[in-house]
Amino acid sequence: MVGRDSLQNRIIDRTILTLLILVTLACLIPLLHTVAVSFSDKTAADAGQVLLTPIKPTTASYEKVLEDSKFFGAFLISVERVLLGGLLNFVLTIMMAYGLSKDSRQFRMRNVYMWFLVFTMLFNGGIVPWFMTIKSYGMLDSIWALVLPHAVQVFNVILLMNFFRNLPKELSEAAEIDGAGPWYIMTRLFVPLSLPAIATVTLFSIVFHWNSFFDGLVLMNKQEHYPLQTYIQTLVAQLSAQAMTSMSPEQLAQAMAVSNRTFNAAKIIISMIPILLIYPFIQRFFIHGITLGSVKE
Amino acid sequence: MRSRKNELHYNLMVLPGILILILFSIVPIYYAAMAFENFKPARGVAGSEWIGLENFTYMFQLPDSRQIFFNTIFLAVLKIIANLIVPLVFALLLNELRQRFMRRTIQTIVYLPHFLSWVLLATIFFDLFSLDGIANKFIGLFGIDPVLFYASNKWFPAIIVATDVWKEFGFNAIVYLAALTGINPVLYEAASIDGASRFRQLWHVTLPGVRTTIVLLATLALGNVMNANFDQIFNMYNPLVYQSSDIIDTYVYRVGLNDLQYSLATAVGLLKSVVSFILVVVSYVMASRFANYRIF
Amino acid sequence: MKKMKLLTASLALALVLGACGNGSNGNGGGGNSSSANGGSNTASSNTGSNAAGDDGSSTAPQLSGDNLAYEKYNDPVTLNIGFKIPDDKLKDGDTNDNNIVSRYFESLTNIKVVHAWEAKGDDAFKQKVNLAIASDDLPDAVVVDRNQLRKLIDNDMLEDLTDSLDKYGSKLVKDIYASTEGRALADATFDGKVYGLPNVAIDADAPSLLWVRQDWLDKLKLPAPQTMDDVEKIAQAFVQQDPDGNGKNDTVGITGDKQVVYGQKPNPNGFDSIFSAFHAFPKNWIKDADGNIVYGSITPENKEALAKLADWYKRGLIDKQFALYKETQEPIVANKTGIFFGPWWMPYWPLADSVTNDTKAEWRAYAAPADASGKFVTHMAPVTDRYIVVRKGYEHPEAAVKMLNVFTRYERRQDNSADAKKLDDYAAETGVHIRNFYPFDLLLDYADAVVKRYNDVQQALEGKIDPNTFDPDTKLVYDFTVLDKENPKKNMDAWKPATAYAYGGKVLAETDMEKVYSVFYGMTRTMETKWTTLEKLENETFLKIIVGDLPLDAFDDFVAQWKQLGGDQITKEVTDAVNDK
Repeated sequence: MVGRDSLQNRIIDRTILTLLILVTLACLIPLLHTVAVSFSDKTAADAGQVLLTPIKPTTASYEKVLEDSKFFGAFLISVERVLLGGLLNFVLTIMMAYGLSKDSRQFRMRNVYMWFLVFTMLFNGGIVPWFMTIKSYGMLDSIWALVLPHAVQVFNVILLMNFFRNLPKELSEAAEIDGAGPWYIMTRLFVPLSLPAIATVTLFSIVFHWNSFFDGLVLMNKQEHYPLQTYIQTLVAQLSAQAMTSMSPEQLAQAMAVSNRTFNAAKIIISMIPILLIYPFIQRFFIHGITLGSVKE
Repeated sequence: MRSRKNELHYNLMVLPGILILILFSIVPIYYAAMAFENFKPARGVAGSEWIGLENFTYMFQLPDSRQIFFNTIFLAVLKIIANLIVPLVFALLLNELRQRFMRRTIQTIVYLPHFLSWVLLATIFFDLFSLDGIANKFIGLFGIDPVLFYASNKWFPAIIVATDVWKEFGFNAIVYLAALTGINPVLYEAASIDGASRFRQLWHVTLPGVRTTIVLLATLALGNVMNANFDQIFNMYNPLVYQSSDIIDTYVYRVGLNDLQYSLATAVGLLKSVVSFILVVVSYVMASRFANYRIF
Repeated sequence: MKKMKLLTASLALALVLGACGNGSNGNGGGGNSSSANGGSNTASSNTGSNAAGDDGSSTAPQLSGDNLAYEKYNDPVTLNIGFKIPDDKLKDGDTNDNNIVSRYFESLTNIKVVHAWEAKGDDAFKQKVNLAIASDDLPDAVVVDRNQLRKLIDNDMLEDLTDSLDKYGSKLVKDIYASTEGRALADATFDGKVYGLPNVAIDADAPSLLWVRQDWLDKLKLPAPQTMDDVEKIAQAFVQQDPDGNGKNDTVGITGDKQVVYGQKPNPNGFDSIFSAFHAFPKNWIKDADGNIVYGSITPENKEALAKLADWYKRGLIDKQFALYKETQEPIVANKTGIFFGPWWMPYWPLADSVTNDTKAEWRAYAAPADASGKFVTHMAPVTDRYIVVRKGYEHPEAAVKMLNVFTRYERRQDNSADAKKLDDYAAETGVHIRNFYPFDLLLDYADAVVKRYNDVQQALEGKIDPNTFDPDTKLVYDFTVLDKENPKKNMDAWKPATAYAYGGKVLAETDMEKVYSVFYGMTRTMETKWTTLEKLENETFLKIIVGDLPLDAFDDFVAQWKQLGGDQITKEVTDAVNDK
């Protein structure tokens, strides 16, 4: 028997640990670099001297961000969007997932709805028809344009539905015999038992709303109405396509080098904070939530 | 009848969501009818001239279309393959790690990039791959001249795939990890008693244990063959690398929004939708037949 | 980078010209001004003003000309626009749609400008306009580009502005349009109707002149350059005969830029004029002898120009290091060279630096080299590339014209009110660019402004006209010219305009040039994806042939490759677009 503690095994273990640490570092380096840049002296950062530790540490760029009322306006809009959108997603996802978790004998329309869901998930009309639709509802330039179209996240519905379906059937059968109605069973039995999965889909929906930028770009008419990611996208996209086509590679390199590096880095770090705050709390749920939701026995 | 009454409630639960989907996913398809029209904005979709498949045939005559379909599938397939293999290797390595605390910490860190937006990451990578960025500093250690990664049609696709893997490999490993924990420990004990080395255990116990998962994920990935990730490419590309990284979605965006070719853009997008839909149906059927798995 | 420099130069120009705020109003604002535009116009504008009693002018139905153009509405008129957000930081709680600039123009016109939407950056603005077009939801007035204008006209979405412009256009605006010999308005005209109010750019920026150190020329007793051979001889002498007399062999010949040619609006060191002397027009779309539309960089004439340049480079007549400079103007500023190509405004930049470093430097401009028949040939730049359009059905199309009147009057320094002065002070104090807050991002200047100012100033210097009748821009040039004559090179801010006009302007005014206009500007769809590649191929091939990395025959390979890589398709699209018009 080859013991777990043999020399060979220990070498293997060490190698694996080293590899994993390297991989983990690779994940961290871009983020650490950005943090380092955000705390660095502007000239050092613009000269590209900053690697993983700040040079001449300063909080100047953060102070500059604090003075930027547009940034915080956008931040607040994103918060509003996450709250409204997250709540809508939460309610609709649970309701749809529960309804659809019934099999087609209990709920004859179920498979029709299912295929409809998959169809809508994959089929889209493209940007221009989408814009015209939102416009025809008179929702342009309002927060509802960012929230309502994404009120149903089909992927999340399927995830939670599969989780519900993995719960023992006897549960609802017994409750029904006791005279409980579908709404009662859903809210009092299934939801409490599915907290990991619900936490997971809620995290997904928060992250989705926080990270979306494109709809803000197309559907909002005033810069003051941009959500955070859209606002950052327009900041960064200063090198417009037109400007770039007329640039030679050398000029392009130069344009890339002289940016607002520290200032932008600080904005990036601040925009990550909400995700960084929420994610560790939900992390312990979502491994469970995803695996049960995606693997239907 | 109790069950009939329940059914009414199930319908009520589903309907608000269905209504939202009709309003925001089905109605746009009405407007997408412009793909079959010589669309005149002033006349609207209803009043414009119906020209059938002309926009589609025009599309296939364009020298661009072959390039963008190729780029899309090329990038998507590379991503699919890398995103199957890298997370698997990572999960296998992590599975061998005994220290629970290390395991936890590593997992927390590698899942994190999945939750960050491409808007932010594109800015970060732009910096990393710039002329005086870390990437060039690193290759400089080996005496290699700085490379303008973002302007090079040779490097840029590699960067697209690599950064995508960087963002997603940890998160994609979750399913593998779950499958790995599902392997019966008795199998390992038996292998140990037989004197199998760890490599042989990996080959004969671990891999067979996750084989179904691999096949399943590969099958389901089929639905993504036309999907090279708009958010990523839109935020990372530039005109210098259109040739190698302009994909269907970005092309539709530019042709529709920059060039006023609404009908053409919509036709291209519609074609992509149809192909994707067929691929998903195929993968669904395959998954249920070969892996005995039903997505829903 | 180059764009930035050009911008800096023209900003400097604008600033210098703008520094004078209180010159006399040369415009006079006479009621009979519209007669300048021909009898038929006057007639139609008279009938027009009678018929137009319903748009707020009921108090004074007899108004015409500039009185009507600058007349304030009695009742407020709302004008919805799409607005391009500038980078400028306003103060005192001013916003993009309510600020010192917008309040001023509203007070003048009683037009309430409302931002239907705003967009940051050129691309985003263009997309917003395109979405507005797609969903048939145009703001009342908005600035569009050439492609958008065509699309809008095709779709019959625009208000005909012919009468509004005719009746309400100020003399200033009409004069500026007239200065383009009709090209600006023709660009926006379809079926005899004007659908857009175009911008007008200065014509003078297009030709690339030969700038030579006259003091060196005189020292070496060389004649003024005219032909290709003259240029060659001067370059050779400047390289070999130690023109700066420091006893060292440290001067170079003609300087160049790694971009080789600029194509439309040149910056320093473009070889544009060498190519056009051979009747090659790289980077322009031209008609060949058979009337077919071709891309100017692939015609056989280019090969002759390249052969000449390669030969000069080989013999050292072109600065051997020209492709290596970080900043193309380095050898000029360092006075290592006495001969280079550049447009009329070179004295503003970089020549002012050259003279600062060596006050002996006397730069002169020449229209050289001439072509085989002795004529100076040059490509031109588009006179206009953007248009204010008005949504079909908007009740007050003339409001857009009136807005254009007032902000153009301010921009051209002809607004002498106390409030206009306040704007100047505000700009000086805060660094905010007033023009960025005009409701429309569209500027008008006389196409022939440079030549006109040169002629006026010369006549004034000869005592033929009274400089006090000048418009402020011209007056300023005159004052600076006088100042620099009294005290040469003492005040560089005076030297810059004085020299640019006296030599650059002079050559433009006195040379009978063959002007070649590109038949197409703008983008086609295939260009979107292929152009960068093609342009790179072109730039690299030209550069490599000149420096000898590639043989001359590589040009033929380039042409074949260019065609195959999408050039043929693009040529077809351009031909369609031109014939379509």
